[in-house]
Formats: sequence, C-alpha cells, structure tokens
Amino acid sequence: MADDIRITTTVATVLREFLDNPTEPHYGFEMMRSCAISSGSLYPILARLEKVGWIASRLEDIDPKVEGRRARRYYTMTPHGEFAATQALNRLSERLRLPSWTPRPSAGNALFRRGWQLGTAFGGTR
Amino acid sequence: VSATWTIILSVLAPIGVLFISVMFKVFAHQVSEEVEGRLDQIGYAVLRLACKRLPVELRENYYQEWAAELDAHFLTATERPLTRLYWSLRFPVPLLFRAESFARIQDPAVFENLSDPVEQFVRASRPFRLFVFAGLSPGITAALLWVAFRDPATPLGGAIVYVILATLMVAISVLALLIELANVIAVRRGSMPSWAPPVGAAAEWILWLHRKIGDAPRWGRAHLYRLAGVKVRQDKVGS
Repeated sequence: MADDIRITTTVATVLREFLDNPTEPHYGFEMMRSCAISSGSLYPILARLEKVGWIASRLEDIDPKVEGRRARRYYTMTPHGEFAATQALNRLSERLRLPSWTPRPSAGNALFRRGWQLGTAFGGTR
Repeated sequence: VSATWTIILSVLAPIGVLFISVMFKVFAHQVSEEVEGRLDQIGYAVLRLACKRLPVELRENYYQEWAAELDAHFLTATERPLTRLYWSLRFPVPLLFRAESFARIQDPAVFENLSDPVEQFVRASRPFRLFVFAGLSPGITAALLWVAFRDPATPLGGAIVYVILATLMVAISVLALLIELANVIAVRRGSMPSWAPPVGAAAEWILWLHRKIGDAPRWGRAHLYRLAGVKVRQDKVGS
C-alpha cells in the first residue's frame, strides 16, 4: 500500500507531524501552521493519506450552538498508518543520508578551522 | 465684534474644538471597529469563492468543513487584526486553486457523475475566462475612453495614454488567448505546438510558474485531458 504514495518532503512533513503523537487528533488549520505548508497542499495530502488508510478522519462531536462554532474535522493516524509511515520515513531518511565519503564541513566558521586563516586564499597574512 | 462676544467666543471655541475632536475620535474608533469586524469576513468570502469551483452538491459540505477551521481560529486568535487577516487568508486562498483536487480524491463519484462535458468545461475554464476578461476589459474601456475623449485637433489628442494602455492591454489579452490556445493544442497533441515556439515557450513558462505557485493550472487541465481523451498518469500524494 505504501507504494501508492509518493513520499515527498511535504508528505514527509505531514507524516512526521502525525508521528509526533500518533493518537493525537489534528485538524487542518493547526497542521497548516505547524507544518508550514499551504492548505492547498495539505488537504489533498490528507485526502490521499486517508484514502490509503494511513489516517482516519471524523467530524468533531459538538453542539455548534453551545460551542459557538461549527464542528471541525479531526484527523488521527491509524495503527497501520503509524507502521507504514514510520517505514516510509525510514526509507526516505536512508535515501537522503549523506554517503560516508562526503567531505563534511566541520562546525563553525571556515576562518577558524585548522589551516584556514584570514587571507589564506590570497597567500596568507604573513 | 464687541468685547463680550470676544470673551464668549474665546471660551466656546476651545470647547467646540474639543467636542469636534472627541466626536472625530469616537467616529474613527467606530469605523476601525467596523473595518476590523469586516476583515474577519474576508476569509469566509474567499472560502465561498473556493467552494464555487466545486460541483453544486459538494459546495455546502466543504464550505461548512473549512469554515469550521476559520471559526475555531477566530475564537482562539489573540493576534492583532492584520495578523489575523493574514492567517484567515492564508487558509482559504490556496484552496481557491486546490479545492477541486481535494474534492476529487474525497468524492470521486460526484465528479464521475458530472455527465455534461460542456458544463464541466465551462466550469473548469472559468478562471481562464476571468483572466481573459481581466485582460480585455481595461483595453476595451481604454479604447472607448479614447473614442469619447479624443481631441479632433490632433491625431491622438490628449488620449495618447489611453491608446498606449489599450495597446498594452490588448497585447496582453491576445498573448493570454494564444497561450490558452497553445495550451489546449498541447493537451490535445501531447506536446507543445511547434508552429508557435514563443507562445509554446510562454505557455510552458506560465505552466511552470503555476506549478510553482501551487499547481494553479489544475484550473481544468484534468477536464481538458478528459475531453481530449489524453491518458495521464494517476496522481500520487504530493504530486
């Protein structure tokens, strides 16, 4: 089933948000803000995730007159979705992991690294 | 003016000025309250527009669902009016472009049951028509203004600005129409038309730009594909 879903960075962000607390219900506006993606991207993703059974939605059970607002739709991750999403994100992170031979820059400003002084590129200051 | 009047006026004038300034302040406050109250409604209005792009039977359900998000936002929002306005627009504006793709996944049966292809095409091409109209109408207005106000003493009179504006707008409109034509032909043929490389390139560029700003040209390409009988890859999440 996971093959039906292409895990883009946006999808991964949404899944990550769900996986933070899989039992916690989320709603659209809140996810739009927390995932920093537009509602236009979010809702089709939610619909597709729901279609493959990774998440389930339900309408909030409130009395609109008492609460003073309409009932929202809540999305919760399903157990199947939790498993599948974890696997999908694992695969994604494996795919994105830097190869071991990649020259990784050390932390900090290049000027403070060993061998690099002010003006090194121009023959050094001495 | 007698001395008595001078004294009376010198007392009344500051009181009058104070009264007017207080009244003005009260009025300004009322206006600001009114505007602030109305600002919150803009989000709902945009949401209504977004839902207008959906088949009639879906509109109300989707509107209620999305309006609930705005309701909850406004109930808990502690931000200043402009920030609140930003978030209330940030939510519905992208839905103007993507509401349909969401609804197609949620309620595919409704879209399959849209039997009349002409109705589908008309609905899908609405944004195009708006675009063309938006381009053409200033041009036509400018042309009419030029006809009405041109100075017979000189070839173009003082209406040269309108002529330039009209030319510009008509040119933009023609380009928009050509891009649309190229787009439709591209969909039918499966490739960009070679007879109009600049237009094809412009169409491609605009499609690219639209994709970048959130798949906006879904404006009905799906309908066009269907009408043209072109098979397209099934959409996947995030595509």
